[in-house]
Amino acid sequence: MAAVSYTNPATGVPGQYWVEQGVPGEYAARGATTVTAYQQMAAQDLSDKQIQAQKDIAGQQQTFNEQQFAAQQAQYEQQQKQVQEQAKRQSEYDTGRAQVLSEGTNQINQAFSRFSPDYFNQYAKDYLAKSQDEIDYQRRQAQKDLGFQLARQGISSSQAGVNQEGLIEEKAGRATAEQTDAAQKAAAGLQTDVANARSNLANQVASAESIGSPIAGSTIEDVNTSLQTQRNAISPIATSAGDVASSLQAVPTVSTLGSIFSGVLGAGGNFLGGLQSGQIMGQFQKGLSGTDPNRSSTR
Amino acid sequence: MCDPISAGIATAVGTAASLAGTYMGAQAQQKQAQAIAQANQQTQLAQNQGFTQRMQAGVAQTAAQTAASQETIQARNQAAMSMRDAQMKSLQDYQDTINAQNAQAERLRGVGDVAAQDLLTQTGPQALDQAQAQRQAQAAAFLKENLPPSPDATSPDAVGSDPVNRGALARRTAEAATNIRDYGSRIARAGSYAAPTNAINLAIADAKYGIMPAQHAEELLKSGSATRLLPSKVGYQAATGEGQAQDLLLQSRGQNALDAAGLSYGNATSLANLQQANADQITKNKLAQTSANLEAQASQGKVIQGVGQLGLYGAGQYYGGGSPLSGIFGTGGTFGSQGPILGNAADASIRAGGAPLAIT
Repeated sequence: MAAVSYTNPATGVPGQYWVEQGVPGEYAARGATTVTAYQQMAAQDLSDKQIQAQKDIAGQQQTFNEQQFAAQQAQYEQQQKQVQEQAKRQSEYDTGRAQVLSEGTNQINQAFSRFSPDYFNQYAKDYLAKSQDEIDYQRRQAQKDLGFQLARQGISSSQAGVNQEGLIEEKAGRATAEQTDAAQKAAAGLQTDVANARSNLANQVASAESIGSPIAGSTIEDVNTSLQTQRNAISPIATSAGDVASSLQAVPTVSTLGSIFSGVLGAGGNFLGGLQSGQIMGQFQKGLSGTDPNRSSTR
Repeated sequence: MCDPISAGIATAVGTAASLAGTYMGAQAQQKQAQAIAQANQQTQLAQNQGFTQRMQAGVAQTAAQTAASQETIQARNQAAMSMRDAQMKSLQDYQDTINAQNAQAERLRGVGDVAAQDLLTQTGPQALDQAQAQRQAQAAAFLKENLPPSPDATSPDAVGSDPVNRGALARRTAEAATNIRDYGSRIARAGSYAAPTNAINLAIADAKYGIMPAQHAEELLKSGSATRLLPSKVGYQAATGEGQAQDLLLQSRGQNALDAAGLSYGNATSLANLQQANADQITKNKLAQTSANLEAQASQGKVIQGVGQLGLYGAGQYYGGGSPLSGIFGTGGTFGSQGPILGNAADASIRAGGAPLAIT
């Protein structure tokens, strides 16, 4: 047995203990009087410390893991939120672009709504009416000229005159038939021009709408700005649709018909001149042979 | 040198001392046996206590590890099921998005189908024949409206008012009208061949124009498809990542619990071993100390016994009247032929570690 001294570090109170030699003062103060008791107490202390240390380490590791897991969850949530909002904006953007395109198309449709089948039918009629007016005018002139020619020849009431009159009518009718075909072609051409103009406008609208990022912006304001930009780009094109449509509504232009009846009148004049000459020469020959020129033939 | 009284006293004291020494040796032997038995008992007790502590530590470890493993498995199972649910939801979202896009694409394709069907209808043989016929009919109608009027018998004209001439003119005009209609029909027929081509071109243009918005919307649908599908893809990846991280976390926590149980078991076992070893060592030490004490006691007994023997020797010499040595231990003495009576044989047995000799 030996005396050991120990001062409690917590209280600062010194103490002296009579214990078996080898027992530290710290353990003597805690009640260990033998080396065996000291060793068991120390072993228990070590075990407690090891277990506590293991718990502390496990707790720290668990805390670290949970923090990292929470951070990972936050990242995933942020990522999920971002892509969901982006997807929503993309749908709104695409819908808006389709709406802008539809608005432009509607304006074009409205501007071109006047070009119906009746419109083109009326166009052909107007074309033909314009042509017919010229034909009628020339026919009247030709009929007058023919009348004068026949009168000068003194054969106003003749079969030849009737035939020439018929030729004039026939010529006029043939010209009308030809102008009918021309009117139909002109109407078809106009129809093609209208279709092409409409398609060109639509293509311009689509091209103007296509300019821009295919991916929606990062905010809804960016999306709206992009849509407004595209709407602004399309607006002039859609507005010009009315002008384009108006320009296609011009009065039908008819090609100059030329002198339709000149051949008839020229041929008629020659024919009538020859006829008259022939009659004179016949009478002259009959006179030379003693035949009464005023007597009608019996044959 | 010695009177009878002294010789008697010596004889009595010697006998008593010899007996006392012999008794002390016997007592030492008996205590030695008891000490060994007690040491054996304490050793067995310490071993049993150590065994019990180790068993309790093992049972506690088994229970703790079992509980930790069950808790870990339940938690991992729950986390895995949550992960699977989230993954399935993401897969369903992905499929729903595809279905919605397909439905929209189907509607757009329907517009194209209608336009294509219209185009086929408008460009079919019957429609083209009809377009050609309409062109001819329209030409005939236009021509009819503009044909020269029949001559009026009373109206003045170039041929005069001769009824014969007017009749001739009427016939000639009728002939002209016939010729005009024939000519007009031929022109109309020739011109009508352009009608189908024109109808086809217009139908194609109409179809292109008609499907343009749907076509453009379909392109928008395609270009934005990846963005719309991204949330479900990210959701699946997030569910997988979270599930795996959660599983690792739970595995770590479970492993820590297993390690803690293992450490507790190891420490408890070590402490039990230490306690048992200490008890064994203390028992051994006590036994050794007891053995030494008893050996010393036996030696004292032998000394006392020797003193008693010496007294008896002197008394015997006195009573023998001869030389004190030869009278007792000589050939003619009292104990001469008997040698040592007790001391030497008992001492030898005890020193050899054997059982003490019986006292006679």
